[in-house]
Amino acid sequence: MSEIDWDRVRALFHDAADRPPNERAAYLLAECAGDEVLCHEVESLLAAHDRAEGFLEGVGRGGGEAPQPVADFEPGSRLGAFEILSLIGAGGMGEVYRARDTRLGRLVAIKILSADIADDPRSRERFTREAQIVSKLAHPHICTLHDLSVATVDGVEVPFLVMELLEGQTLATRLARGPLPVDQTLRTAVEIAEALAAAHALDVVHRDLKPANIMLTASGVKLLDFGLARWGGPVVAGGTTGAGVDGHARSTAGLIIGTLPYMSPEQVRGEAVDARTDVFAFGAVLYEMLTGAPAFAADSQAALIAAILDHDPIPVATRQPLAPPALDRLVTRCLAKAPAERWQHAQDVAFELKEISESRVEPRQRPTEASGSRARPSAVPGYVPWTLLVVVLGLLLWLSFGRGDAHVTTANAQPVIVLMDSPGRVYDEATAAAGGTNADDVSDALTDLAVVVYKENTSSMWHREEQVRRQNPDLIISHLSCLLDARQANTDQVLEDHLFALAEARLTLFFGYIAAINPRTRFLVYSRGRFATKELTTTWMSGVVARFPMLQGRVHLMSMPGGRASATFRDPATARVLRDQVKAILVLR
Amino acid sequence: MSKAPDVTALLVAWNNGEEGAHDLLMEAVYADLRRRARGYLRRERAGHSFSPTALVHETYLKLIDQQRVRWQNRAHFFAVAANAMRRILVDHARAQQAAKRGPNVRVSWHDAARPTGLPDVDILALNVALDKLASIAARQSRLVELRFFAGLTVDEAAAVLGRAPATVHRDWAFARAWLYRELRGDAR
Repeated sequence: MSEIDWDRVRALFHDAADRPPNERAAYLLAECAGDEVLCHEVESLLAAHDRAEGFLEGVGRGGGEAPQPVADFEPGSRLGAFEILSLIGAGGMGEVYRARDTRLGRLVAIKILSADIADDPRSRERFTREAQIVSKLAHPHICTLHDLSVATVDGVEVPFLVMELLEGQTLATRLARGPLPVDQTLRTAVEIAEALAAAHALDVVHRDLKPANIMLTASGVKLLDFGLARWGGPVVAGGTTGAGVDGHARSTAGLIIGTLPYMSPEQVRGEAVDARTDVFAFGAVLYEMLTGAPAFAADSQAALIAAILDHDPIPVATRQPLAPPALDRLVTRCLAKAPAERWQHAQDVAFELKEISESRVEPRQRPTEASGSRARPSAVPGYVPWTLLVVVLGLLLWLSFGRGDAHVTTANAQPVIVLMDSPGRVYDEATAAAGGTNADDVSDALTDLAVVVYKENTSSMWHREEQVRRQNPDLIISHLSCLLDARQANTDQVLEDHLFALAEARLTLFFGYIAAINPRTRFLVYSRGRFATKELTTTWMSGVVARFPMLQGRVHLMSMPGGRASATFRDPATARVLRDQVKAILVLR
Repeated sequence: MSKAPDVTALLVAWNNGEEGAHDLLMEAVYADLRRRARGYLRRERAGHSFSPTALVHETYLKLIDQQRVRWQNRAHFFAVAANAMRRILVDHARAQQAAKRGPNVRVSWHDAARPTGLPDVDILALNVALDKLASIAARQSRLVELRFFAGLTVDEAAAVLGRAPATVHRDWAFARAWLYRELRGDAR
């Protein structure tokens, strides 16, 4: 790192950050003057900059960041009858471990509790009583509490909960990648509402419903920390006005943190909470599932509290035009400021959601479509006529380019990369000898990244747009002339130049099409010789952007070290350059 | 214990350029903050979480005679307090790491002592990252200290650092991106 000129990095970072995101790449390309180390450094910082919104500020932005897990117990250590297997995560109440019950042989999740509960007999008694009630909540969408136990470790009493072990991700993790499709939102919301209704029937209020407490598993939603959230959750004010173990967060300006964005007005005021408080939080979660944005967000806690108390969120329809109006109204009613004006029972919300859901499903079950065809993978509901779809897409594109933040397509669980190359293209002799292709070398270079890679064979004869569009790519990696069939390489230089020009023009058209449909897709184009100098890259890029302005800032160029004669991705240094650039573009670890 | 030093006087003295005032001030603020933090860090107040930012402000109100200091002094106080709070939290995290609570323990925060006013960040990792940042961008590192450990706004931090708010906004953007990459993102 010592060779990096940090003053220069900072200057470039600020200059680039001041520009619209779609102009940054071209700017950097021009400014870095072939200094790849410098360029990568700034690009990687800019990528971090885009992600770091709110990082280290923590004000009113709780719930989004996954906590850094800190292990108390190493794998293999014992906690009473339980053998710790691995750390799953650390949450508000303490660390959660995957563990094995050595008596029953089953796998469970173990949550270590705050020692305060163990230390104070009154707290402990009340906690035990509540845990008993929660353990009676047998519902398919509530994480089952098996046991409340205490083990003595090195002379210290460690209380812990034994719970059903769940495999999946939290809704918070999922939402970090953007909104859920409307159909999935409806399914998920019905399950959450039914779980709440079941708990409310036993007079158990969750009090801290938020995306981080909602697990998405193969068997549907599971709500976590039911009724126990107040036992150590980060819902508490500090200083001299803190909240006691009774868990009512009293709002001293500037001190509430954590789950504030999902708190109801009565919670923010420190008033009594009931089932309708959960209905409000449910509305805030539903809003975020639909739009990908929190219902209430602000730059400061004071502004956030004001928003929760006094302001209505931006209507769902403005942020997610595909949401049915009935769903929009349902969310609005959940988020009413006065509890009396909300839905009074989670069960009613569940019924209403089911009705909305069924009214959407019916038209799709027409006989013509029932012939075993797979559901289309887009977020677009089946009954929307094609012409309307085009209009909606146009509107969404307009929104996304006008505002720069709308997520139109569904985010992937893992970034999807599409590699494009013409069949049979191979640069490396060893690869060729082994029967491989250049695309194999490229995918080998990416093997240890957490991405999904599709290979697309291309040639000037094939139409791949629709296929690639359906793959919902985050990144398309292609050779500059990937649409030139390598087998037709011609000895006639003039003809070859024409074919190159045609292939590149076709590539640009292809990019323009994908870019227009999917605002998340980015493009990485590599070349063995054509991007050798700054002038060449700038000229090429400006030509592309002049043709398709929506590609601005979304196309990244890479010159393969070694040049036209010898460059190959089998070369570890070349593979590393590619990998680093992919990581920077997709902001991967 | 000797009588608590007059922090207000030290602050004014430091501002007037008196030698040694800074070190005395630093020690006085550190001692007071530490004393206030200890109850929270030792979990003496069951069920309470604590906010370092709130603690710094509380300390300020208790230690400083509002009538005798101008804004400039107030700014300097926060610069000192932010640094002291960082030391306290790092010392505490280290002690937690050292104190065995079970077999093979690696603790940073005990649940009850997790400072709630701070975003959920590994304090020791942040501490190391801040030192690293200081070696390439000292002003930006100090800015993070002010904002993160004392909860200053950009404008307040600008006054402490004697810079235009616009510059401080830029510094913050850079420091935040750099630290994000260091702590969360792609480590080059």
